[in-house]
Amino acid sequence: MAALASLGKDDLPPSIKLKNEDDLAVSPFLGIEKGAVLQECRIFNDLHLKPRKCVDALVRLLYLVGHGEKLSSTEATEVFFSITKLFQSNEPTLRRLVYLSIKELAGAADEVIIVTNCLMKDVNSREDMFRANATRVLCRITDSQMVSQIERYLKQEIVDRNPVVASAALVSGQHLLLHNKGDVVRRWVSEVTQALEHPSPMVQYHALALLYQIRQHDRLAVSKLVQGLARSGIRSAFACCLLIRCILRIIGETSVAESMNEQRSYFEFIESCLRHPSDMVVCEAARAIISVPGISREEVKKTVTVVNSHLLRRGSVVRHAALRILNRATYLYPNQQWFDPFDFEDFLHDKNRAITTLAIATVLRGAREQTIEGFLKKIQARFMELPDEFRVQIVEAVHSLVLKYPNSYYSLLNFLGSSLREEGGFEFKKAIVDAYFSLLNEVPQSKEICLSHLCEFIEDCEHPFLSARILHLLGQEGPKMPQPGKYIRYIYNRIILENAAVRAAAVSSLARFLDENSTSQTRKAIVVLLKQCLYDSDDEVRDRASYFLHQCQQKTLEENSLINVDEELSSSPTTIKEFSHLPYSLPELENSLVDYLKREDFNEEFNIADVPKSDRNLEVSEHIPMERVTEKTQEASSEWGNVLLGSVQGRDLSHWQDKNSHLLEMKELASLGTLLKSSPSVELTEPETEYNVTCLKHTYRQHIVLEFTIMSTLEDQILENVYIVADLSSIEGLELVKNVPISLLKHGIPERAFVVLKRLEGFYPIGDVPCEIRYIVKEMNPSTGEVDERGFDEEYKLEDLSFGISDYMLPIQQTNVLFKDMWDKFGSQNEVRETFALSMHQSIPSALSAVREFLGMTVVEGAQVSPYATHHISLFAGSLLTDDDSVLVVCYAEFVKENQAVVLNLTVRSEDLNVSELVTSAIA
Amino acid sequence: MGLSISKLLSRLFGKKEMRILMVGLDAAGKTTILYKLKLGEIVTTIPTIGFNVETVEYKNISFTVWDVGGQDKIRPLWRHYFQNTQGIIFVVDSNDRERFPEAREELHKMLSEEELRDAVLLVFANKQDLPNAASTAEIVNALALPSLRNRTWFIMSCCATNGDGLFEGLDWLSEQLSHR
Repeated sequence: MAALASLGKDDLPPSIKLKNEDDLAVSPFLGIEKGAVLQECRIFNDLHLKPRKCVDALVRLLYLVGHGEKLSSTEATEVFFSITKLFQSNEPTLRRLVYLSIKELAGAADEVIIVTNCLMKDVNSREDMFRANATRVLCRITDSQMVSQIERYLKQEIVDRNPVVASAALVSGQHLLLHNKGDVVRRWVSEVTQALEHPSPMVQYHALALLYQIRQHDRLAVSKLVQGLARSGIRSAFACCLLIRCILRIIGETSVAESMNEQRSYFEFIESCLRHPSDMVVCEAARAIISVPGISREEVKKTVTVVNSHLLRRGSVVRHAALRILNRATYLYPNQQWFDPFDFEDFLHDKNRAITTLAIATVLRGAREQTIEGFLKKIQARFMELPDEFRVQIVEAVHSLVLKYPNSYYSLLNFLGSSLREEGGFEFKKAIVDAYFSLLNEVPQSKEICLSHLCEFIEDCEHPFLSARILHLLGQEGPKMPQPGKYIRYIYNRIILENAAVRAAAVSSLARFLDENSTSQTRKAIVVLLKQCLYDSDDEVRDRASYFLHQCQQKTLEENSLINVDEELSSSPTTIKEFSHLPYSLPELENSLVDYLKREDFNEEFNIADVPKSDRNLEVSEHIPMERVTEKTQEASSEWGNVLLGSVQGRDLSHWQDKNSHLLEMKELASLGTLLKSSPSVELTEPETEYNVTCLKHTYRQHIVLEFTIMSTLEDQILENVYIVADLSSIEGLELVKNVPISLLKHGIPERAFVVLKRLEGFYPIGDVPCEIRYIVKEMNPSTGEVDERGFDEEYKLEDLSFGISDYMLPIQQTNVLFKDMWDKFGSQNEVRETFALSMHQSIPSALSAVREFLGMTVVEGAQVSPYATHHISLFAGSLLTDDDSVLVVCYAEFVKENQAVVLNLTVRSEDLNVSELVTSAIA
Repeated sequence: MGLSISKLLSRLFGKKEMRILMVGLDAAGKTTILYKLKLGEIVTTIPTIGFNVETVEYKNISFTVWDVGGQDKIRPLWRHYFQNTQGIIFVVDSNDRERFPEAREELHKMLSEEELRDAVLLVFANKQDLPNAASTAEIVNALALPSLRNRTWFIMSCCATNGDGLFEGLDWLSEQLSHR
């Protein structure tokens, strides 16, 4: 034995050495895993049980289940039945764990009634521990049919002398009632009433709870029970608390007028509880009294005094409870001033921070107005030491205080402001910001201070969410303030310094200042700021900026001054890409500007018209590389505005512009009005012929401009006076207005010729136009560059240029109108229906994209379609050059297998029957 | 050290253990037999919802007897107690001739389980004290015991109320255990 003992001691030290903190923190259950534990539980089936090992396995199993590990029904049943094998051992520890495990698994496993017999045996055994525990488990596994078989035992146990057994039976009764298994329980009243007399306070408590539960739906019975107990008194503190709660519920259910007498007796009982030896009961009673509806102020004051004098001097728990009661009292009776803050001074330095917080919050709610300022100063330092969750409570208290005493807002806001400057987490800052938001609305005189505090806060705010909210608020309130400019500065700082989300919020906020009665000075300034946002790296910021600018421009179209601002601004571009389409030679422009500055005579405006236009012929070669780069990086927004802004009138048409278009250089085209649409470029020659010609069609309201790009591939000739002849005889409604020739075409350098056509009113010409190039050709020696001056006329036939309905179709302008509404508005009188079989198209998507291309309309709905679809509906919308000639098309496509073709059924509606017909006939 | 060695020896040469599963139709008298064996007295029993388990010491063998209820709804649960069972006691009420076929069916169904392949079978023909009790020969036929292949079986007439035949049955079981 001695040897064993010493061996044991030698074994021990390693485990004792583990006692440094890190090792102790490691849970003995670390890394246990369901599969392994279930495996381990197989030892329960062993022929020879090893109770110690079984105990270990059960503990691990309970740990798993207790931590929410889910066992499948099969797993649970299997392990449950293996646990039932443990009933062969009478080891108390093991048995107790068996009880616990059965309780835990009862829900998941099947056929748990298998242990009924064993548990009933334990209920009847002599071991009290077995009896109590088996009782609790028994009512878990039983079902409503079995209850009658065990009821007899439970009833006996309720009146058992042993308090543990009696309590177990009472609690089991509650459980049965709760899970609708125990109507039999309702017949136990006499036994339970008897248990109320049990010497053990615990049994009294459980008996009262069960009795109340049995009778809770019978109000008369409950009040009789309560009255009886209130008169006789009850020794258990727990039972007493429960009784107080029952009374409170009864009072809450009866109307005040109904039974004043009854209430009086109840109330006397609760009041007597204020003198109960147990602090718990006193707390409960005080809490109950202050929450009785319609109770007199005197009573509340008396109770508060009891709490104040009696409970606050106890240990932490009672003190905390007492403070909570006082805090609640200040909530319920906000206009009473019961405390002097200086009574609470001790608690402000309590070790327990929860108590400190509650004390501060309570004083703040209940204190007199005059004392607040001094008090706030006193707590400021202590406040900063508290963790965030406590500070949030205090901030809320201060918030309600401002609402209560609006006149003291200045000192209270100072407190909040300095809190805002302190370190703190998101929740804390959010609570303060919330308080400010509410105060802004509730206490209008504080608005200016609130805004300035918030402005200061966003200067150094690490929570984008709060920054965005505050920026929104500034946008809302700032413009109405006497000096909006002040806020603009704060907002713009955010645009410079913050992340994308905040920048976007700041842009929106900034734009709000445009709407209000701002001076034109501010508006100009804001437009400048917004313009700069157009170059932001974030899409959202740019989008918002351009949206607001656009809105602003539309609003103020008549105010020419603003547009002038725009022009000034846009002629001071910051990036090189802006220059690419400026019709001036850059060096020339620079020289002119330098000259202008040197003259130092600023009375005379700088005249841009004096700058020589760039000679394109010379410049193209220099500019080609740069153009390529810029074409890749081009961004839609800024290209156009420069020259055409006056005539385009703020309309953002840049997305129509083909990248290769050089319309801008044509000064004579400016008179044609707004460019509505440009077609994609079309090749009019085969790739390997003498000349490569492509054509772009530009649609104006009354005109069509054909832009031909011609390149010669012949090295040994130059072409002069190159112009296009379009034969309009085969097409109705077009007239030649002007022909702009190319004066000199050299080998390898593309040049542009233009043909300006006028569209006659009411015509939408559709068809093919034969074209040819006419020119004077001159021989040239490619090596020496010598040109033979004798030129001769030549012509070169091009492929026909076709005009389709898509050349006149624009996207619909009224984007905010529903398709259906407009469709209904047009009505069926202007409807044209037509069916086409498209044998060239083998699938619906290809047919649809052909139709879309052909009509040039926007797909409103049904753009996505699977290539294997057999039928599909798409909605198209567009307008014919004028905004009011809107056209809507419902296209029903069906794939017909036999013909291997797509059949289209088009229904067209517009305001004018002719227009509808035009659209359908265009396809046919 | 000395202590642990003596413990080991007692396990090797000391008591043997045998796990017995006692089943049968309801009201055959299983629980009564169990407590007659355990306590030597007659206890009043109610239908067993679940099982009883007791250890019976006899002839230096410790029999762990699992008495699982015979009601319809519990019979499917017998299978949970097959594992590691060395001996089956099947109890038949010798007077309940009407239910012999039912008993035969349950017995044969159970014996076809793989887990019980090596278990020996003892049939107790219970309630022999009643005048109209069937003989063991009759029960052997009724339960079709001869048709059992690869199964050591034995039938013992007994009476739980006076204890006749119970220990003879255990004698046979202990003998079977020593054969292994």
